[in-house]
Amino acid sequence: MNSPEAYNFPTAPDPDSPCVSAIFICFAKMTLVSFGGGLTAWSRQILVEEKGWLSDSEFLEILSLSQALPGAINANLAIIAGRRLKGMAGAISAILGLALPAMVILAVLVSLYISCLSNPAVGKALSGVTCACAGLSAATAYRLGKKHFKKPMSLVFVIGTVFLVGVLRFSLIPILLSLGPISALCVWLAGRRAASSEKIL
Amino acid sequence: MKDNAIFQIARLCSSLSIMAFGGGKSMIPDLHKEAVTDLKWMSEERFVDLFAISQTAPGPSTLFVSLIGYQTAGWTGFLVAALALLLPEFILVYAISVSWDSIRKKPISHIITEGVAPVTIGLLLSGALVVATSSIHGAGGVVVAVAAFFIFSLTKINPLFVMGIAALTGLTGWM
Repeated sequence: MNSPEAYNFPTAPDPDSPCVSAIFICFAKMTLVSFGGGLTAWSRQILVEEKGWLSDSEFLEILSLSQALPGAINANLAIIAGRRLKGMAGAISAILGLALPAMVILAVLVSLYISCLSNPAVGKALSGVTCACAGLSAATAYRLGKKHFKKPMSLVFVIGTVFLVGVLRFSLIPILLSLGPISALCVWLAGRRAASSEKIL
Repeated sequence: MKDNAIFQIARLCSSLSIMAFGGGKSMIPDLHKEAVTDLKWMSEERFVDLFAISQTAPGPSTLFVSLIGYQTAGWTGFLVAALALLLPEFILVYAISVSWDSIRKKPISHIITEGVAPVTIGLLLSGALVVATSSIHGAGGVVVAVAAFFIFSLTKINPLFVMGIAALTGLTGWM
């Protein structure tokens, strides 16, 4: 921690970083609009599009890290993104913002002992939202992946992952831990090859 | 007896917190084994009901454990379960995020993030595919999902507006 690079750490918040209440409200909003699903898609929509707090590549980096760690992906994403925005205070307000509204809603539902799905009208409306959420999630993948779809090697790994997890239903972690390092190795080899061919030229 | 139950809830949820790779769905088998089979906190039917209730609510899917806590030890159980779930995860993820920052600026991090990115995008697409196959039951659903995909990919229309329309479409029973 005493190395010179330590001074470049983003742990000391920028003067223009959002305040803790803004972070709390942002993540609370994320939970509240995610009725019917699509929480990851909503996270990108709010953090990247609406607030402009993260770039698409930063969001993708945080999402990759969140997926590799135990626990709910979106809770991990809130902790890491919150920390990047405003250190420990940011991480705490992000996770509370995400969890508290969900807990209040769960408390109301369980004390009435109802699943909204048992109400036909609510069930029907939610089924419409869920279909749209499938589209929203795919669109989020498209927006985050634009750059990667153009590279044949990346595209192979995207399609491979969809086939293994989406079609054959392998679980997420073994695929991430096997395909992830293989893909990283390919990136490294491609980088070395590019570097050595530059030398020849 | 009740204190013992609360202690058990805290133990179960905090261990699930740092073992549940991949989110809420992955902890269901363990949770079911402990809460229904081993500790006999509730019947099979009650477990399924509570799961259905938690599926309706928005937010992180792992918060399902707070309903198990509620069923076992009332509101104290509810809060203890949520806290035992979130706290170990928070500490672990925060610590890893700190150490990730120390390699973030090195060339190796570029290779890792560039390499893992296509897999992450593939996982996101797989999630969309899984939701699509379980929620779409006819032509109406396909139209809504495809329309949503194009609207969200090509325009900056607020998703909330589109979700509203999708909810209304669902209500008409056209799906």
